[in-house]
Amino acid sequence: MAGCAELFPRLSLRLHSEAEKEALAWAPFSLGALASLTGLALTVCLIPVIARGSQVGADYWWTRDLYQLRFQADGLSLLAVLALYALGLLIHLHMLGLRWPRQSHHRAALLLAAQGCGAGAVLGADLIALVFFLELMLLCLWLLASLDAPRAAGRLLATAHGGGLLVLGAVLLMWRQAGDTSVTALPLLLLSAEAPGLRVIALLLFLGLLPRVLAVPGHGWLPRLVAGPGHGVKPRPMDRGRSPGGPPRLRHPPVGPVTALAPAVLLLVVSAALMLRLLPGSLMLAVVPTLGPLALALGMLGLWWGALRAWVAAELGELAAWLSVAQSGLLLTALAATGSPTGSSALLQAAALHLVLAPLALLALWSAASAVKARVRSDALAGLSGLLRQMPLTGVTLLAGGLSLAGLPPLGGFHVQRLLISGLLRAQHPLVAEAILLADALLLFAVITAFRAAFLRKEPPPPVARSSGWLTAQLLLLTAALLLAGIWPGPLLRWTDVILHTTLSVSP
Amino acid sequence: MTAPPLSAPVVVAILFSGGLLVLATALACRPRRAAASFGWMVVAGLAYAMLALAAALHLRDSGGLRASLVQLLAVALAASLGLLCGPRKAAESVAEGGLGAAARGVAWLTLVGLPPTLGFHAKVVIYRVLLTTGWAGLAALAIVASAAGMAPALWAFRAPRPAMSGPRAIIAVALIAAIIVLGVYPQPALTLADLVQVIGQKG
Repeated sequence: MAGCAELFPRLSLRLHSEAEKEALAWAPFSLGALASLTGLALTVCLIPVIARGSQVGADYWWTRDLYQLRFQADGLSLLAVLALYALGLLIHLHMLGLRWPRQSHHRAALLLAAQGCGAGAVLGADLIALVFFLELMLLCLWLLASLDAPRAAGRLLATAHGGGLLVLGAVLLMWRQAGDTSVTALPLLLLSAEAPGLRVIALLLFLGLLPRVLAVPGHGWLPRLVAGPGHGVKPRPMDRGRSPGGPPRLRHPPVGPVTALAPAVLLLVVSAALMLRLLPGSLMLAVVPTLGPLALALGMLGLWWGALRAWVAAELGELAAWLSVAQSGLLLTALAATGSPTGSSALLQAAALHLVLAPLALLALWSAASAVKARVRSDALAGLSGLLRQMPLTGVTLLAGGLSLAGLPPLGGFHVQRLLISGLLRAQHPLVAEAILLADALLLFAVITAFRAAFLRKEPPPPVARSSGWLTAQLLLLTAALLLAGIWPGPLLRWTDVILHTTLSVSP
Repeated sequence: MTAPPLSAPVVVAILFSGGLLVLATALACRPRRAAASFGWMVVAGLAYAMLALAAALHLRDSGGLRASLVQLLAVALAASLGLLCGPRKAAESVAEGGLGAAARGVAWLTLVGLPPTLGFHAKVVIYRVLLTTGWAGLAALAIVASAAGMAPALWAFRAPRPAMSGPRAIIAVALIAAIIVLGVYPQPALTLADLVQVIGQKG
C-alpha cells in the first residue's frame, strides 16, 4: 500500500532540479496558510452573531426524502472551527518554516481539504452529513500520512474507519428511533427510545469516536505514525568531494516533520467536539448510566498508560505520541463524570476548554519534536544534548506544551485541570481526582526528563541546521497562545460558559 | 411498522445473501492477487443488494428495492472501473499510470463504502432498510463486513499501477466523475432507482 503517492503519482509538478523544488516549496504552504487565515477570519466574523444568540445555518437539498445536507453554527461548532483553522494555519506555517520540498503541493492541498472536511463535520446539523464529512476528513488525513508512512497510515484508516462505521450504525439506529437524521432530533430520541436501544446507540457512538480522540484502545495507529520522511534511511556516500585518503563524504537524506502531527491534532479537535455534542450534549451520558464507568475506566487507563509510556520514551516524537494518548484520559474522565448531578457544569466546561487547549499543547509538542528532527536529523534522546543554546525557542515550546498538558500554571492547561479537579471533587470522585493529579506528576516528570536530556545535558551538541523565520514565528505563536490562555483565560471561559448554557443545555 | 412473520422464500433469501456476503468478504480478505480480491468484493457488493431485496420481499414498503438498485448502480460503476484498470496484456502490468491508480482507488472506495463516492450512500440506504425491517443483526453483519473490506482495499494499493491511454482513459475519467458526482450529490441515483422501480411495477 502506498496511499497518496500511489493514487496520484502523476499530479506532481515537473521540476528539474532540487534547487527549483526547494525554491517553490514555500508556495503551496503559503497558499494553505492564506486559505486557513481566510477561514479563521470568516469564523471570527460569525462570533458576534452567535454571541447575540442568533442561529446561522444553511440547508442544501442533498437527497429529496432521505437526508438533507444541513449546516448550523453554534458556540461549540464555532469554537471547533476556530480551533481547526487556527491549528491548520500553524501547521502550514510549520511546514513553510521547514521548507520541505518533497510533495509540498500534495501536503498543503490535503491538509487544507482535511480542515474543510473537519469544519463540515462539526458544522453538520444532519447526522449523515456529519458521518460523511468525518470519513472524508479521515480519507484526506490518511492520504497525507501515507506520503511518509504508508503502513502506519493504513492502520490509521482501518482503525478509524472501523470506528466510523460504528458511528454510522449509531446514527442509523437513531434514525430508526426518531425517524429523523437531524441533530436536533436527539432529545426526541431520548424521550421516545427504550433503554436497551439507547444503550446500544450510546455505546456505538462512544466506541466509534475513541480511535479519533486518540484514546485507548483505539490509539495503536498514533505511535506508529511518528516516523517522518527520511526516517530510517541510511546516508549514501557522495560521488564527488571525497577527500584523498579520508573517509567518503556522506549524503544524508532529508528528514522531515513527524507524520502524526496533522492527523493527531486535527482529528482530536473534530472528534472531541462531536463527542461533546453527541454524548453529554444530548444528555445521553445522564440517561445511559452504564457508559459513565466505561468512559472513566478507559480514561484512567489512557491517562496512566500514556504517562508511563511517555516516561520511557526514547524519542521526542514518541514522547509527543504518548502524551497525546494521555490527554485523551482527561477528556474521557471529564465526560464520564458529567452523568452525576453535581459538578457536571465544571466538568463540561473543562471538556470544552480541553477541546481547544489540548490540541494547542499537542501541536506545541509535535512541532518541537518535528523542528528538532528536521534541524538535527534525529529526535532520538540518546543522540541529543545541549540543544538549548542553538534551539532555545524549540526547547521553550516543548516545555510549554508538556507543562500545559500536565496542568501547570501559567499555561492554558492549568484551567482545564482546575475545572476538572473541582468538578470531580464536587461530583464526589476524590479518588479519581487524586489519580489524575498523580498522573499529572508523572507527565511532568516525563516532559522534564526529556527536556533535560535533549536541551540541558552538558555534552557536545550535535550539528544543527539553520532555522527559518517562519518556523521561529510558528513556535513563538504557539508558546504565546498557551501562555495567553493561561494568564488571561477570561474570553475562553466566557465562551465555554455560553456553550454550557446553550448547546449543552446545562441550567446554571 | 409491524413486520409480518418471515416466509420461507425470505428465509432462503436471507440465508443465501448473508452467507454469500460473509463468504465473499472472507475470500476477498485472503492475501492474494489484488484482482481476485476486487472480484470477491464485487460479489460481496451484489450480496448487499440481495440483502436489500430480501428486505423488500419481506416488507414491501421498506425501500429495499430502491436500496438494492442504488447498490447495483454503485457496484456496476465500480466493477466497470475495476475492469478498465486490469491489464490487457501481461507486459502492461508493470507500467505505471496515475489515472489507473486513481481509477483503482475510486473503485475500491465505492466498494468499501467510503465518501465521497456513491458507494457510501448506497451502504447508508441499505443499512437503513435493514434496520427499518427490524433486522438489526443483519445490519450489524453488513457493517462488520464493510469494515473487513478495508483490509483488501489497503493491500490492493501495493499492486502495480496499471497504465491507461486512449478510449480507456476517457471512459475511466467519465466513470470516476460519475462516481464522485453521485457521491457528493446522490439524488440522481435515487431518482433513477425510483424510475426503474415504477417502470418495473407498471410492466
